[in-house]
Amino acid sequence: MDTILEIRGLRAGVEGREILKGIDLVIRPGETHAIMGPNGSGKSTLSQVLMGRDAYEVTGGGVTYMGRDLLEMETHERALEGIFLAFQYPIEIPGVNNVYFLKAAYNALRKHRGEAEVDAMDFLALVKQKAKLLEFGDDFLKRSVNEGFSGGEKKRNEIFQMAVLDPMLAVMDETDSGLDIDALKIVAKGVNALRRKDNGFLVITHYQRLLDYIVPDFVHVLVDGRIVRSGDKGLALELEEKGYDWVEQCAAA
Amino acid sequence: MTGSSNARRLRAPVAPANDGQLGMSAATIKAGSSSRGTAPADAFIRAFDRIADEVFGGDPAWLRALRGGGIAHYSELGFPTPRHEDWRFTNLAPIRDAALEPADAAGRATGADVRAARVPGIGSNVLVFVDGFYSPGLSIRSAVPGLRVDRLPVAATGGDGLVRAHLGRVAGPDAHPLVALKSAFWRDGALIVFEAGRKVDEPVHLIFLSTVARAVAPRVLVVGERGSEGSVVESFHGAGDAGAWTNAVTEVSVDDSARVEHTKILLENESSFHTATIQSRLGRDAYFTSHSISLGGLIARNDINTVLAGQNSTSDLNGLYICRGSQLCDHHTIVDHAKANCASHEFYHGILDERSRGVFNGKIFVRRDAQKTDAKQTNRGLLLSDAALIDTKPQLEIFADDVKCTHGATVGRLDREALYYLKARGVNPTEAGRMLTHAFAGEIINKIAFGPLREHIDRFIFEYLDGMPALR
Repeated sequence: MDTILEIRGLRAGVEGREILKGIDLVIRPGETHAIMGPNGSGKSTLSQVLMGRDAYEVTGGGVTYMGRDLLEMETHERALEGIFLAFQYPIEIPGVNNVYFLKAAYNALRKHRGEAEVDAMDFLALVKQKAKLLEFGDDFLKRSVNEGFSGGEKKRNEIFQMAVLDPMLAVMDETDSGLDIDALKIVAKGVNALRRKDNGFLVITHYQRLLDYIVPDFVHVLVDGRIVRSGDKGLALELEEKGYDWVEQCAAA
Repeated sequence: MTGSSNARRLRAPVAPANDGQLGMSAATIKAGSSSRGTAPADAFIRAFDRIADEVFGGDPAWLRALRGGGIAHYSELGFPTPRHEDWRFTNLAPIRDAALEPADAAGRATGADVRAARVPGIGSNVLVFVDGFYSPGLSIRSAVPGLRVDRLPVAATGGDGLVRAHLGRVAGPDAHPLVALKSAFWRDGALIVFEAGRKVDEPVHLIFLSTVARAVAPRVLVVGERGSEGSVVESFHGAGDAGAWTNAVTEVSVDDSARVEHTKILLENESSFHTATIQSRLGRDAYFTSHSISLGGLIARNDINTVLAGQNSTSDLNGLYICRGSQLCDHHTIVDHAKANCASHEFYHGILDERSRGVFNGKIFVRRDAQKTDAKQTNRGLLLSDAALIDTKPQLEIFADDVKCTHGATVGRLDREALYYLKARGVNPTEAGRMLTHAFAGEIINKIAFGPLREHIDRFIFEYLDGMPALR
């Protein structure tokens, strides 16, 4: 497969309000793309549409994932086919144990691929190894999903889950927000360990800072629902220097 | 009042019509007719008339007085109808109309019925009652230091002072029509005493099996003596599909510095009726916790009442009810803060599918002397279908000025955000619904202190939930 994700003229919105006004983007194996943009430009909407959140309505264009029509797939099917969304605001689920939840997700994935489910012991060994990568203590594993976690812990938990589920396409929605520099480095280390020749990353961020640690192959600037500029990692630095006003002016021109 | 003959005088006149099939003797009718009450006597009073002399004639005078008081109060209060505030949402007409005869003998139950009801980790004292009657052959009895277990009628008629001191005193027959009826009709049950200063680790398990469509009124008295600690499990099961009516009372006296845990598991079949009262009274520095796990019965009403009668005591009342089909499950609680510096915490979770109904009514009294009371009440309902319904009502009556009382009730569907999050990790929608529902149930189950019991309940609740129509 020479393309993981192909987005063509995607238009989408919520409650009748159009937010994405024609997005085109192609992610090939081994590539990391960054999407940057000011608040309200549609960054999060793009991530939710890719994951199939039902509050968002696609009004035009299409998305092909691994040769299939992504928009025809339900949320859990997208996950089973290898898409992972690291949430900007991870949900707290009281009463559902972190490891129990992750084991259910992991075994659903294996079952979908026709592989045997793993037992609790083997899974715990895998989880402990991945937890070490994210510098997560055992106590995090025993707690309910995200319950009582600090903002930074929630973000690390997202990347920890990503490490266990090892996706084909990872979409990270402002994973850096709420992280101090030490946590940011840990998260970036976890992400970089997952990058391979055959998978792809879409890193959505407001700030250039994350891209010092997760270095992208391509940077796209999203303004008012459209990609107004694309370039290499140099674009992120230029944006940092000149600010979003600069691209907004470019977009208006 | 000294006996059943006096008690009859307080009974209401017998209705002239349709008592023929009950085979009532002329003498009984006459006795009944001399009553000073005004309400027409119902089938239950007539049934009591018929059996009282034969079945209860040998009781000591104080016990006959208790029964007589029960039937007298019942005839004054009348059978509950939705016109009574306490029964607004729970119509017991099907129980009244069925007018089931009192069970007079144990039906056939097997070792397999008992095994299905057993809890792993509880094997020292498992008392089995079939249709309300103690079954020595199916029960297990062992001597445990600090624990006294007896058949209640044996202890009551054998002059056990403890029974006389407590029976009908913790749960008086005067306020609740069904407690009144139960006080008259009870025949068998258990006395469980945790002796002063002793800690008994393993719970005592009482198994109640119904095999026939009869009315049974089991009675349990638990006494946690000063400084003792112990746990009791009562579970109710239907063998076969007969629709019995279990009308039970459990009285729990938690003396100064004692700790008692009570767990009730209701698993009767979906054609049976269940009305039960668990009434506890706490002394000073005492702790009581009640777990009501209610799955069975067509109509199930659980009255769970606690009186904090000594300072520095705590009552925790927890409940989990799960209904489907046209089941109705009602929890009515009364927490009575009579003394200062006490705490009470109530957590009730309901899960309702199909056309089922849940009722929660939580009354909290804070008496004038009960300063520094800390009372918290939470009732949450999870509706799995559009046709399911929960009626919930808090009632706070506060007569002290320096208290903290909070209550909250929420009723809703599965959290869409959480479902989406689970699905975004590849969990299919059905499994995601199960996980969230189990978690909601688990918040209550996790409060059970005895590990093997907690794990046992967790397991069967999980399986049960997986079979709910909305989660299949």
